[in-house]
Amino acid sequence: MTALTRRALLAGAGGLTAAGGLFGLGGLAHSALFSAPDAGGALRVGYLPITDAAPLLIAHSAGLYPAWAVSTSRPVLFRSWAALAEAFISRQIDIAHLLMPMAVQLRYTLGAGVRVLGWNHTNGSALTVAPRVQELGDLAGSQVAIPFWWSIHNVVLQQLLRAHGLRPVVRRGASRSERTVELVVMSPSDMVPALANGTLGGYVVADPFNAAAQIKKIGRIHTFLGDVWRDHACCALVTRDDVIAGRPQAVQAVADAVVGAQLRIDADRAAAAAALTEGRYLPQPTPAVTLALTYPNPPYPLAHPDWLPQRLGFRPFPYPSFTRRLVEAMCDTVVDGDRKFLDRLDPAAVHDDLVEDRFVRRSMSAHGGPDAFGPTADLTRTEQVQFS
Amino acid sequence: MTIAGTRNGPATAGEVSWQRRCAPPITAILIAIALWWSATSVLSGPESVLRQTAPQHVVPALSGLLERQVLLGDLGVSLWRLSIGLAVATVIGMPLGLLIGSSRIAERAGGPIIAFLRMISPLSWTPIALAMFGIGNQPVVFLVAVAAVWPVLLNTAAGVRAVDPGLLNVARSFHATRWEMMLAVILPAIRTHVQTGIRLALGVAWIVLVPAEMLGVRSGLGYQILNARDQLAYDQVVAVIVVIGILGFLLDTTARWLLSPARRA
Repeated sequence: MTALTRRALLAGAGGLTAAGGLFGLGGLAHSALFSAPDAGGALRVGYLPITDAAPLLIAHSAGLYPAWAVSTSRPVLFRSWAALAEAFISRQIDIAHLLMPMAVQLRYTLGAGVRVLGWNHTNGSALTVAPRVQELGDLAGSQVAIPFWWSIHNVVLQQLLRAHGLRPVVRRGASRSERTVELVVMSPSDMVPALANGTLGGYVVADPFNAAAQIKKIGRIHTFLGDVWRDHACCALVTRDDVIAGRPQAVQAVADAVVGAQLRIDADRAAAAAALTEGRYLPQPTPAVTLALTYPNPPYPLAHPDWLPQRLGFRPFPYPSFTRRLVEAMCDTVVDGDRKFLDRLDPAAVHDDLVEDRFVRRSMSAHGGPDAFGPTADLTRTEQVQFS
Repeated sequence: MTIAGTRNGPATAGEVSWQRRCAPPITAILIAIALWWSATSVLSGPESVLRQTAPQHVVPALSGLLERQVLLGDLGVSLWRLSIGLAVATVIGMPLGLLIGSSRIAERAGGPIIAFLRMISPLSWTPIALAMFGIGNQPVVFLVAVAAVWPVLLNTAAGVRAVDPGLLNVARSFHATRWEMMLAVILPAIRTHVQTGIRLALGVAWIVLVPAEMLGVRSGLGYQILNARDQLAYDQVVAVIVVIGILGFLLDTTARWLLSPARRA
């Protein structure tokens, strides 16, 4: 029997440490030098856990993605827009839903080949204010939270504020006498408590966080963004140029699946809400998701009841007029960041460069033509934006 | 020739030593920048986001940040939070250190609690800090203070314990009260220890400051990193990282210089 000497023990421990260190270094080097393993050519889908992702998720839960085109594993959940965009740019995922203004910013600042295939959904966001705020002018001198600088929420909010004689500012305290409103970026889950403890005068975000404030009686929905800009797109279905060039059939299959899912959601919203929460795609409770998808009673007297501003829409077709109006509005939007790329943009030319609608067009005709998705059969429309 | 002239002049010795002192760090810095450049511009793939973090992109990003007039403001705010946090840590840490260093009972009583609290990462207090102080400077100051208080406290206590017992005996033989002993003997004697404590605290506070600013504030260097990341502007992210590194280096050098024994003499 050999006694374990102190010397042997020390040598053993030293060897173990060295081996562990080398193993760790090898792992670091491997993941830094080699990109994520390809899922055998199948496209990978990423999403944020919000109702905006519903079409991508319902397509998976209903088995609409063909196995040869899209990875059969569950769509990958991300926690923030930045994380989702990073994974998308670095080719960890191929299909995602991104905020439409963010897609513009990514394409023209990073040159990342972001391509919009179609709209993921329309409407679905609102301005929620603290109980003390009766009209928009009362927001002067307070902070309003937005989910992201390059978001439709920020763009529409700033237009709305300006139309009511308020000036949005960033990085400066808001002043009641100067009628300024300070904008801050916050994650939606932090907005509700911040509104409750009085830090915020209001926030603009997608549901179900507006419904949450309404239910908990810490604030109320002041305006649906769809009541300001009729049927505006919030998120877009995006992929990259290289995916379109390399795997057009797979992209077509994704478009077919997502468009099919949009019809399916619209046909039975309660069932879609149940599928989203019971399939553990979304962490929110079923009643909140159901409410966000249906909104049976408008919580305030709507300015344009015929627009159905409270209703999340699932129309896939990307209207060129919207892209143009959006880019024009982005030029007037203040953000805490680099806005120089906007100087180079021609709002009229962005749509053709950014959006590739041939897949969605084909999917729509396969699913009953444009009539199945809404009234505008000729696939053109005039943007309706009203601030009263 | 001028070159020959300077070489032969009386400044030769000083010049050589200056060159000897500065040549190695400057060479090392140049090599580091070359490595940085090759890792980001040569080794990384053409589509990789790492390309944006190359030095030739970071320098314009830095000037862009200066142009937008956000960088200096962020710097000022961060340094302000750092100094207030350090001041709070000193105000709390020194008296506690004096107490623990001078009283056996206090040391025994406080020891386990200090050991327990000290090993908790200050950032784990973030949710509580946000709930207690809301959004703004206060939670950041709190987190910095929580991180910085321990070096001050422990070094003060160690300083008190290291006071020459002879000095204390002399004071006692003059019938000095506890208060007089504290003022006349202990406080002057522990000065070096406290200074070391504050310097260590500065290092820790600087490390905690940036992540603390990533939550619940809308200014500061930490905020700027996250804000740039939100727009996937990695050149700006790295520009702010460079600023943080340079500033930390300057802070440490200044603290070393201020507290160096040579200067005191």
